[in-house]
Parts: sequence; C-alpha cells; structure tokens
Amino acid sequence: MSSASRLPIGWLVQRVAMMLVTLLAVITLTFALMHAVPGGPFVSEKMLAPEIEAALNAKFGLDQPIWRQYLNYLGGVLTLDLGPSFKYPGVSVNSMIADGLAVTAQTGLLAIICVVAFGVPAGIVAALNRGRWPDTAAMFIASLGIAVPSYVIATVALYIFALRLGWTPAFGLDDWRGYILPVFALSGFWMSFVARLTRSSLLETMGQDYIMTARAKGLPAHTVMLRHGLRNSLIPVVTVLGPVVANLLTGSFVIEQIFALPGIGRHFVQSITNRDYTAIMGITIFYAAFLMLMILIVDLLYLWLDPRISYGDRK
Amino acid sequence: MTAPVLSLRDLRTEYRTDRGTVQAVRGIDLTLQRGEILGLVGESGSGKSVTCMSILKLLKRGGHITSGVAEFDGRDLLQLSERQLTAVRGEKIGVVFQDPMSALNPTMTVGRQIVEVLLQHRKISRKAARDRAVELFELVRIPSARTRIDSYPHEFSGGMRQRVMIAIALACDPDILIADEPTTALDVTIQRQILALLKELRDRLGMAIILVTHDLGVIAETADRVMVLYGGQVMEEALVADLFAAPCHPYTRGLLAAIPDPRQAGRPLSPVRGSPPDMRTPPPGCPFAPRCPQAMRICETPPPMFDATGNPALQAGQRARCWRADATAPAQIFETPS
Ligand SMILES: Nc1ncnc2c1ncn2[C@@H]1O[C@H](COP(=O)(O)OP(=O)(O)OP(=O)(O)O)[C@@H](O)[C@H]1O
Ligand code: SF4
Ligand SMILES: [Mg+2]
Repeated sequence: MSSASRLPIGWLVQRVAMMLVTLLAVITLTFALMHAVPGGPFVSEKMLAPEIEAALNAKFGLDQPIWRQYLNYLGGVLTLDLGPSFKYPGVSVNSMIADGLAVTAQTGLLAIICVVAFGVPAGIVAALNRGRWPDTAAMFIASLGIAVPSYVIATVALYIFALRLGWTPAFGLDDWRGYILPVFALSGFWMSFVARLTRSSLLETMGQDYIMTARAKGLPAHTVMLRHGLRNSLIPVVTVLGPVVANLLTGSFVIEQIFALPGIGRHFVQSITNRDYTAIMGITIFYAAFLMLMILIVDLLYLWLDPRISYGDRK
Repeated sequence: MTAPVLSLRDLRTEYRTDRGTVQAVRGIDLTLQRGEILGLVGESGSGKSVTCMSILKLLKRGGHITSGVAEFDGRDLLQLSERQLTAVRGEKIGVVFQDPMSALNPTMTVGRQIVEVLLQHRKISRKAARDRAVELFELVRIPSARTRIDSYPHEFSGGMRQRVMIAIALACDPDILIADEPTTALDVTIQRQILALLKELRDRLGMAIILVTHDLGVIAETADRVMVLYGGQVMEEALVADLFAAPCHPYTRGLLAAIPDPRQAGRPLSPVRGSPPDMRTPPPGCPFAPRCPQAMRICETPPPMFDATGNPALQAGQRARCWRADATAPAQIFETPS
C-alpha cells in the first residue's frame, strides 16, 4: 500500500475545517483583546489635537460600531488582507509581514537545514559509537547547546567572531557571512536537542525485537541500522521537528534584536511598543496559521512514516 | 546415525551487566540430527534463549561467548566473523522469535520483510522474490496470500504474524529452524495450529528444528528429543517418549509431576518449590541442589553427565546430570543427607 492511497481525504477536510475554526477563534480573541486594552492607537505622550485624532479614527474606521469593525477586519483576513498599519502611514500589515518574513524565513530556513543536516547525523554517529569518544564529545556539545540560552550563545559568538576576530559582520545580512552567527545562534538549541533525541531514539529502536529479527535474517549491520532502525527511530524526531520548524521560521525576536536583523520578530516587538494594533493582530494571526499548518504537515509526515497510524477513514 | 547437522560443545555464554556478570550458559553440549525436532525446556532464566542465540552469535548488548564450538557445515560458527555469519543467518539457519507482535518491523509491509531476506541471499529479481514470497505465504497457510503480502504487520492477528515469521525464517530453505517459544504469546488453539504447521513443514522440507518452550505439553506434542535445562546447564536429555516414561533427574520429575496430563498443553512451568538460582552466583555444585528433595552432601560437587552405559536407570541416548543417576557409586553416598 503506498502512502498516497492511505491519504485520508475525509480526515484532511475535517482537519482543515478545524484549523479554520481555530483561526476564527484566534482572530476574534486578538481583536477583542486589542479593543479591550485601554487607550487608542493614537494616544501617546504628545497629545494629538482632538480633530486630528477624530480624522485618524475615521480614516481607519475606528469611529464605526465595534461589530462593524470586527466584520470588516474578518472580511479582510479572509481575503488575506490584514489591513493598514496604524503606525506607518501607507504601509500595509501584509507588506510588513512579507518584509520581515523574507529575512526571518531565510535565516529560519538555514537554521532548520542546520538542525536536520547536523543534528540528526550527529545523533546517529553518537548512537553508532555509543560510549566511545565521538558519542561523548557529541553529547557534551549537545548538553552545552541545550543548557546555554541562545542569547548567551549569540552574544558570546558576536563578541568573539565579530568584534574580536572580525571574521563576520556584527549586524545585518548584507554579506553571506552575516548569516553565520544568527543561524548558529538560532539553531544551536534545536540542533543539540535533535542530536540527543535522535541518539536516544535510535538506541532504543536498536534494542527492539524486530532489529534482532533483521539481524537473524542475515542482513549486514548497516542495512539493519538504516533500513530497520533509522526510519522507526525518526518518528519521535519528526514530532519535535514540526514545532521546531514553526519556531525557527517565525524567528526569534531576541536573536533578531541582538544581530539587528529586520525580521518579523523585531516587527512584532516594535508594533507592541508602537501600539500598532493591526500589526500586532496581523502578526499574531499569521503566527497561529503558520503553526497550525506546520502541525498538519507533521501529522501527514507521520502517516507516511508509520503505517500503524490511521486517521480514520481507511477501510 | 548420520553426522549431526549441528553440534554444540561446551558452550559458555555470559552477560556482563552493571550489576555483575550473569553466567547464562555454563557448558552446554547439544547435537541436532538432520530433520529432527529437538525440544529445549526449562524454567524462565534457565538459558534456553541464550543457548539458541549463541549459535548465531545474536546476543544482546553485554553478551559474550566465552568458550565452545558450534560445528555446522564443517565450520565452527563461533569462530566466524560478523560478515561471514550474515551468510549463515537467515540462509542456512532461520529464527522464529517468541513475540510476533514485536518481532516484525511495524513500518514495513510483510511482503517486503520476506522479499528482503530472499534478495539478501539469492540472486533473483525483485519480481521473482515477490512470487516466492507469495508461495511462502501459501506454504504457511496465510489466506489470500497475494493480497495479504502488501499489508503491514498490525493488520494481522498474532497467529498470522507468527506464520509470517515462519515464512521469513523458511524463505531460503534453511537446514535448521530455531524457534524460540514460537507459541508462548498465542492462545491455546492458535498454539496448536502453529505447532502442527511446524511439524508438517519439517516433514515436507526436512529441516531440523530447535524448539524452545517452557511447556512440557508442547514437547510431548511436537518434539522428537528433548533437553531439560536448568541453571545454564543440561539436566537431562532423552527421546521424548523415554523422558515421559522414565524421567531420571529429580528436576525433570518435578516438572512432570506438575502437569497431570503431559498432553495438556498450556500453562507455564512453576512446578518445583523454590526459585531458580541467581546466575551471577550459581551454586558451586549441582545447580538444582538448593531445591532438590533428594539432595545429598556430594551434590555440592558438580555432577557430571551420566549416560546409559552401565546405567540401567537410563535408556540408550538418555543422559542425566545427577549424582543419583550414577549406578556405580558406592551405596553409602546416598545415605549422607546434606
Ligand atoms: N540481555 C541480557 N542481559 C543480562 N542478562 C541476560 C540477558 N539475557 C538473558 N540474561 C540472563 O541469562 C540467563 C538465561 O536467560 P535466557 O533468556 O536464556 O532464559 P530462558 O531460558 O530463555 O528464559 P525464558 O523462559 O524467560 O525465556 C538469565 O539468568 C537471564 O537473566
Ligand atoms: S545432583 Fe543431587 S541435588 Fe542435583 S538433582 Fe541430583 S540429587 Fe538433586
Ligand atoms: Mg527465552
């Protein structure tokens, strides 16, 4: 049975419907919260003239009854229009997200590649050399990567490589070398985490009865390991990879702050300080939708990895 | 008698663990004739599985074979490298494990799991391997073989899964099939069917079978010859009929006394009062001495194997590791209780 024929259409439709309902709840909740905070978007230290404020309110539709504002907003979201920024005239939230996302997704994608390309093989190598020096070394580094917070890694790396040695730029992404430190800081934790998880999962899998069966069939050790061990041991790794991907692609505002990257995380923090309500709402909703999408992809990956899983409508 | 297909001499296997070294197998001799079903019986921990798995050096982490010879096909299997062993495993000697739930890879179709062993050992095309897999499924009587071959293990019942395991083990026409408690995880009716299948396959294909069980009922029903294991040693060895008719070793007698009707298959053995020794520190003499109702002082010295020669208590081919089996011993040794 190929995995394609196991694709449960009914389940998928249900899942997407559930996602939309959840998204609606997120939209409603963020909208409600934004309107519940005291003070409007144009309240600031320097008082605006009342007539200007009224004009602004009219411009952004804030003079309309709240249910109308809600419906307008909802209509916008459904047509993938998150509205204009309150703070930056003429800038749409969509373009803010797109701008930020370009930067964040680039570093995030590189970080994900690092996590998968280094974390998983490091775990495999450690498991294969269990108890010997490659294992000890890999697990020591991984423990550091887990224990030391990313902003410490970022700051120390910045100090050493950018300020002291001058090998990399201290901020910005104008040069390819600019990516190295942020990507490293972003992926450090998850790389370590995935390496450890891969190692322990693989070791556990290699103790399973069906591994003994595979050996008893006369398969060479590497075939046993790759064909029977690895696939099964990757199931728990995929579980964490979903949230990791969401986490990395949406970026880390701390890292973006430290390396002065104009990513989405920084936009988010700025919109909060700026009371840029539509931007806050827009980014929140974007995050939520993105996370749900990632989880859906992980569930589909599961289906492909583990035939025991069925999501309902199989005969 | 023709040359045995496998002859195991003085096998010793230990497991080194954090909590000490377990002397799992302590000098086991075993000969397996072509086409025979040899039963290995004994309580949990007596060393049945370790003996079987040592033959193919399929030991879990920590297991070490410290001495012995396993003569098969003119070679000592215990001297072969891991690489050389891959040509024996699954090809000349097949293995069926106890729990068919966990012994099959859950993420691979059963068909692929059979095809895999065929492709490993035979120079045939994928297509031919698949056809052979269907044949094997028919051989072990899995209904609608052609369609079932593309199912995953979890889509089969326990009994059917064990048939799949048997098909895998028999795929390359092995000389020996090692079946380590192949029916323990199954219910009684299915157990009967699987045992009948094994016997039938032996008759048709002529391979020898080492059948591990802790159920004397299974032995009575299926085996030709039997070895009773205890404390990592052979306590008694005989043709099945002889063992049931005239058990010699007190441990065998204890086992037999626990089942009123040997043809009543089913429950596990816990017959004799007391529990098996800790194999990190086995008793210095007869391993059964601490539980033996007939123990004597001399039992603190390890008893050798006694055979039928000059020993009217034993049938031809019957052997027992017990001082009481020694007909030549001076009568007074029996009078000194320990
Ligand atoms: N992986 C292992 N690590 C440590 N000790 C082990 C291991 N496998 C077996 N042993 C020890 O070796 C001895 C013999 O075990 P073995 O598995 O051969 O028993 P068995 O006769 O097959 O029993 P059972 O009926 O429970 O399967 C036992 O004392 C057991 O504790
Ligand atoms: S040797 Fe002694 S202790 Fe061992 S079984 Fe015989 S009589 Fe009992
Ligand atoms: Mg066992």
